[in-house]
Amino acid sequence: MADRPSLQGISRRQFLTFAGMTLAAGALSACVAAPAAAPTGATAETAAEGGLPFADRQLTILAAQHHNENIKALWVPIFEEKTGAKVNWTEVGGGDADAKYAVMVAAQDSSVDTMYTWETLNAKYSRTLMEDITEQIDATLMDGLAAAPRAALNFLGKQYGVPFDSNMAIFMWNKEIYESAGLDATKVPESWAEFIANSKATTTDGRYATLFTMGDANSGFVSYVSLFNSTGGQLFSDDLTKLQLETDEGLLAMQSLYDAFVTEAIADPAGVTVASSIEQGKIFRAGNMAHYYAFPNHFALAQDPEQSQVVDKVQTGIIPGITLRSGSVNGFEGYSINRFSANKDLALAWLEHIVSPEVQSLVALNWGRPPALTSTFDEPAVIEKAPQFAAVKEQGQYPSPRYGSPFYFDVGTVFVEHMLAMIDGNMAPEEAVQTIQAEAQVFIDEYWAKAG
Amino acid sequence: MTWEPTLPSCHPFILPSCHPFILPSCHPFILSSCHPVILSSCHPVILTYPMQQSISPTLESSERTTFWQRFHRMDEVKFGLLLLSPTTLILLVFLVIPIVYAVVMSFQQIELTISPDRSWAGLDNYVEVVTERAVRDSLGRTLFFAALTIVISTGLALTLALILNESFWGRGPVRVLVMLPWAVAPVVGGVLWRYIFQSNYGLANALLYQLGIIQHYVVWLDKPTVAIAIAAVATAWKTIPFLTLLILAALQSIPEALFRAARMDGAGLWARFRFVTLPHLRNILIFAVVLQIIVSLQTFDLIFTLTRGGPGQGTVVLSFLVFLNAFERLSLGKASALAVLLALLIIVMGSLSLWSMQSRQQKS
Repeated sequence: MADRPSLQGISRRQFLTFAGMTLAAGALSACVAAPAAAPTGATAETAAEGGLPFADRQLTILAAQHHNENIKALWVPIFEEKTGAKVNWTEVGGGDADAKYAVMVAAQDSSVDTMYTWETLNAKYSRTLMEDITEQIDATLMDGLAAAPRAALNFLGKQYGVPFDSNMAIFMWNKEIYESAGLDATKVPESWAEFIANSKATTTDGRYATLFTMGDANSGFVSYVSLFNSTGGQLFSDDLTKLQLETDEGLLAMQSLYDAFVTEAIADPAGVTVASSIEQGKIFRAGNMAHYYAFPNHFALAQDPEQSQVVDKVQTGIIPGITLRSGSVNGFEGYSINRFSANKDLALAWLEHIVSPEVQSLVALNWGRPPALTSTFDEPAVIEKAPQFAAVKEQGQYPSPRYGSPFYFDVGTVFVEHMLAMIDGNMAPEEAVQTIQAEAQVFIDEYWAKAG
Repeated sequence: MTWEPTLPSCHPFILPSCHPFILPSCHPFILSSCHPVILSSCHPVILTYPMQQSISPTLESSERTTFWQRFHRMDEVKFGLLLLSPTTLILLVFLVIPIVYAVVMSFQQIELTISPDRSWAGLDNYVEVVTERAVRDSLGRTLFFAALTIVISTGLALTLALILNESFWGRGPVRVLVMLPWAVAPVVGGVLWRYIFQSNYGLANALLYQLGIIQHYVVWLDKPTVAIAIAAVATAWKTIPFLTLLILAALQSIPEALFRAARMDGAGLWARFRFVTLPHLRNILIFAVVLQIIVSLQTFDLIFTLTRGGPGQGTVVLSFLVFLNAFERLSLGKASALAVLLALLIIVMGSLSLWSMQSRQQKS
């Protein structure tokens, strides 16, 4: 047997082999995700230092990006101090929550304890992602909330979330444009006819009086519903199995939309490319719109000199209705509990926290949103700082359902497709109503056939 | 036993001693015999045979071989495969397995608005997809979008390459400018084009209005056909730099002598282009068209940011429809079936284009 020759160096092949395997091992190990920190399994009865009920526990919140400035900065520290729990804050873009929740359902993801919700998400994910809290949440707490936002996070008789605001569209107008058109700038139009008249007076060459967002399924459906809700009708049956569009109310709302875009031509045609109320608000704040259906926080933005050219020129009131005095559409937001979470008791504590009087004052005073807790409206500081809430309180007396459902997207798509054809002059309002009724009902029937 | 390479010394794989890859004995990577990593001859790991072995196995069949002995006797092909294995593993994990999983999902019913559970659906998803009006409409839109993108991008890329092939003052900076869109992320590009064609404050309206070409601001994205055309322009804008580069490289490989000869024969500009330039560019143009087919059929991010499928469903191309089915309708089985059919469509169209152009080339 030959002696092993003394090694004076590694061969080229050996070096490449060793280096390649090292790199591969490093790359593969980097691909392995670090395991998520498991929530401590302390029970609710665990004695904690200073009597804090959830000391040493961690709550993971999945919030919307636009919650950062208010909820993360203001509500979370109070919650941590009150409960002893540590909050792990994660965010998703408001429009991206849908996709995120889809993945969570598919993966039965338990890494998030509580997540933000609104009416449509609530209806879509209640069966597969959200915890039924009907029996768990404090009933007296829920009774103190405004009825409409409470109902928005209820699906088929079960409560799946708790709302933290009662944000709904109100009417906002530019006083300067009204005055220059010879209108009374202090008086809100009180009917659809008055709205049209004011719109015609303020539509000039190159500037339309208002804008209805029709840029995607959600915004188009919301624009229609905001008109429908003032007709006194009910768009869906109580059990959500029937679309009730082919009614006098449905046709009236469709005709009104047609008049706005075509007959009277007071709605900006660019609305068919605008999908968000944020963009709508920017156009108003640039001084290019006389009036529109706005969410109340737009008033605060309109009064901000850094974001608005119409500071001190804006007034608010309730939306002029078609048949009823008024009607609106809601934008209520809230939080729900992830049914796969291992921290449901702590998540429930968060839900109760967001509707506490302390937090609800922050909603009104710091965020500029109308609170969900009705008693907060009567606080002197709120009355003084947020005059637009008077309109919200009055608006809350009129219907504002958004008709969230698991088939919301499909129904909205059908609505927008045919409403755009109507606006383009390819369809009369009656034909649009009939076509939408027929096509949307197919999606609804298909869903319930699969859902059982 | 000394190591005898099977490759001749003039082989490209055999590096001369002065080559940078050949490390001198004093190099830090070359370990001395007293280095801790270097095992002594009595160490259990050390082979009884020398470390450097002949590539061709010469061991008597009666002797047992260790792993390292087999490793060092490995031939070049096997060694190459071994070096490829990390990449292969990554591709397997992040490409092959997800594709296979998606194909499996396409045969299952998965409705996440109803239940996270899944059941076997057979071909139901495929039947539903093929018979759905929205899919047929989307297919038409996708083909229209692809055709527009191919024509615009290939035509403009060829034109730009011909211009950049000529010498002119400032050619270098112009080449850099032409390449810039390539560096822009597709999402950023989509947002950019959206703001250019924004009806209230977009650049397009402002420019055209100032030039007196339009009297009122135009709503560009409210008509499906116009919106698709704008999306095609935006997609072409993104891919033109790469195609220009390819065509430019091919142009620069055309022998100058051919152009001189053509000029001497009295061929004008168009004749030189048609009979000298174009034949040499045929292969690269075929490649460019096939590439554009694949790119345009796969486009999603630009549509998402530019129009979100609107107005109405006016710009919902097949890739976007897959997204809508998966993340709006939460119908994962149907979305997977549509994705599989889209992949097959891309393969078929790419192959057909390639075959058609190559057979035409052979005939000519």
